[in-house]
Amino acid sequence: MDSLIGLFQAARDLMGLQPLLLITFGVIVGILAGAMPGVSPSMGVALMVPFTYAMSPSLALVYLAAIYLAANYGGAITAIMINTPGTPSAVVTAFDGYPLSAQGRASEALGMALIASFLGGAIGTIVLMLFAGPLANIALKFWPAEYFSLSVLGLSTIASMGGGNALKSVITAGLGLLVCTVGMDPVLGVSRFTFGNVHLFDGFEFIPMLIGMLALSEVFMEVERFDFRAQRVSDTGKAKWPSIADYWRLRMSMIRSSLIGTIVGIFPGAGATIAAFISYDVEKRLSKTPEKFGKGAPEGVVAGEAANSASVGGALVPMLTLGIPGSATAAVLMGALMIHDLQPGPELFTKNPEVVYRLFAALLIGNVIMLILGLGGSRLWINVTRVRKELLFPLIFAFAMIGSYAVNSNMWDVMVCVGFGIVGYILKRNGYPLPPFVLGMVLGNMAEQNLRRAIMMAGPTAIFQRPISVAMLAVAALSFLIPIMSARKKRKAEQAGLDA
Amino acid sequence: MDRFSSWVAGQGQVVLPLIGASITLLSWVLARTGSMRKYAGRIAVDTGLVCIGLVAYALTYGFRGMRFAGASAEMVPRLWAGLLVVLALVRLLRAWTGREDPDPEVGRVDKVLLLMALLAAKIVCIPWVGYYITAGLFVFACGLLLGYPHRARLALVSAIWVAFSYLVFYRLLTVPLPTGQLFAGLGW
Repeated sequence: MDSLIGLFQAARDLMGLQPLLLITFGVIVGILAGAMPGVSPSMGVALMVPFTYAMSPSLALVYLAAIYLAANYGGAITAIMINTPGTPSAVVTAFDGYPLSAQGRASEALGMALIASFLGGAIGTIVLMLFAGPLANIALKFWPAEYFSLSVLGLSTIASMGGGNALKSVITAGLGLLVCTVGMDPVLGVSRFTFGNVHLFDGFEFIPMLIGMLALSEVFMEVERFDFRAQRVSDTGKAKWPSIADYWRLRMSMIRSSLIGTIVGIFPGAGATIAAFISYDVEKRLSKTPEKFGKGAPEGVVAGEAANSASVGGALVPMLTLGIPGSATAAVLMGALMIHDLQPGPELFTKNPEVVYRLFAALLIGNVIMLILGLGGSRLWINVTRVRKELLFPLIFAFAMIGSYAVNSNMWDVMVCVGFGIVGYILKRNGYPLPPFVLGMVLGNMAEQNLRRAIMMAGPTAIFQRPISVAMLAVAALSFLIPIMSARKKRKAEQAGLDA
Repeated sequence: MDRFSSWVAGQGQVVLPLIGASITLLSWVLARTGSMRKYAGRIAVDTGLVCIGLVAYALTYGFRGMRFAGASAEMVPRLWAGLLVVLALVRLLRAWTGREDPDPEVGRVDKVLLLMALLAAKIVCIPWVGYYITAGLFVFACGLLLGYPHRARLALVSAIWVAFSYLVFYRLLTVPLPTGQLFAGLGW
């Protein structure tokens, strides 16, 4: 009851002109930061920290949290419109969002993404308010063996990503995992595959590689087809916004993905991207038409978006309750709190409860403002599909290159972007799916670090010594094998039908 | 084994990738000239993947560092490289025995190659003439290459792009976009 009173009190405090303007401005900054490749949510929040020095701690946190919340939605805009995810987690949104856009259904994809983000953000915040303490305690019980098994569980989703060719999926995931080992070894600091190049000591930067693999490779493919007149489908007809019935049909997908996003977000280091991948996989498995995923399934868009927005609330759970940030952006937020002399952790709830409640209220209010701004803004983004591709493609290249450069302000990242664009084009041309490569890159570090830590702690059989770890590995094995076996069964049945 | 490790950590870093690239090229040439012409692309890609795995595996012998409780630096790269080699070999065998789909039809690869050359030219030019001029010229040239018919509009879009990158990335986000050694040398 005290919590509810505290929340209402905080919401009332935030209803003034100044806090509302601040949240609105934070949402706008967040959407723009998320939409711009090369500017991550954590970078967007970090860039705005100096502007909060003169603010009260509560207002500063409210403002920065609004940016964090909106940046996750912003990433979906460029992912859907030009297949260039503004944030790593938006990569999953691009899988089905961009095909929808290419079919002239961009408004549908944007509408789905917006509502899913709104719902995901709301559910994540509610879970944060209700279960912060108990959930943080569960996450704290995870050892490296469980984290390794969690990453294997994430990797098992590749079986359903290959569109019927699991072997190709595993190969591209293996390539992604191998590329992930480039750089200094995370445990012992040994230089690996760096060829004496200092730029490689930290491995390949994720965003340039992502932009190259997904955006540039796609543009190369389209240029090779070079039939732009046929592909400019959005020139004709009016943009169709999803109806309430469409949203209602996807309600369960949104709720499931939001819950998965929140839970995965709680685990430090797991983050929005892994949450989005897992939700996407779950939705694909539960779908009656899994073959539509990757070709423009609205369920795919809502799964990724709901999960990554919900992970915001999840990532704040360990930060607020234990002082452990659940994501890079949560780490920046934590730094901002400390600048204002607030120490995140259990004492924050007792010493400064008003700050915590204002944060909760700000996330809820920010979510509503994001919905309003998103509804207006989405109509603007749709115009991107009306731009002729001969004009749009040069701009995508220019955007990809400046976005890659902006990450570390060096030309090396631009070369990485173009290099991976070419590799992606070659793989894609030969039927290799690229999402498993990205997944390998996302999970590679987490898998390696935790496997090695587990072995150091308990020997080579470490991952089989803890029950939760074994259970997760078993689920991973099943979730890898079931889609392969059912695809084989389906092929056999089709073959039998043809023979008959 | 010590001699091999030393070689891998030195000359091997150049020689092994070169051998891998040569084998990949050779496989493509052999497939193109033989009866496997329809599968040449797939064979080259799968051979390339096998070579990447083998080269990576061999290079792990050159990692120099301590071991700790059985978890060495080469353990995980060897695991992924081994997986890649085995699976890519399976696909390669399928391609050689004709159990794969033939290569996709070739479209406007000439345009793609020209685009890649244009991107490479942009990367080379930026450190010399700076980001702004290169970016403007790139957008214009790229639009022309893709067949955009209105040159004046294309020039305007290029100028707008340059202005956008200056205002948003340079001024707002304070990304230090390179101005180029040529202009720096002229004292601009």
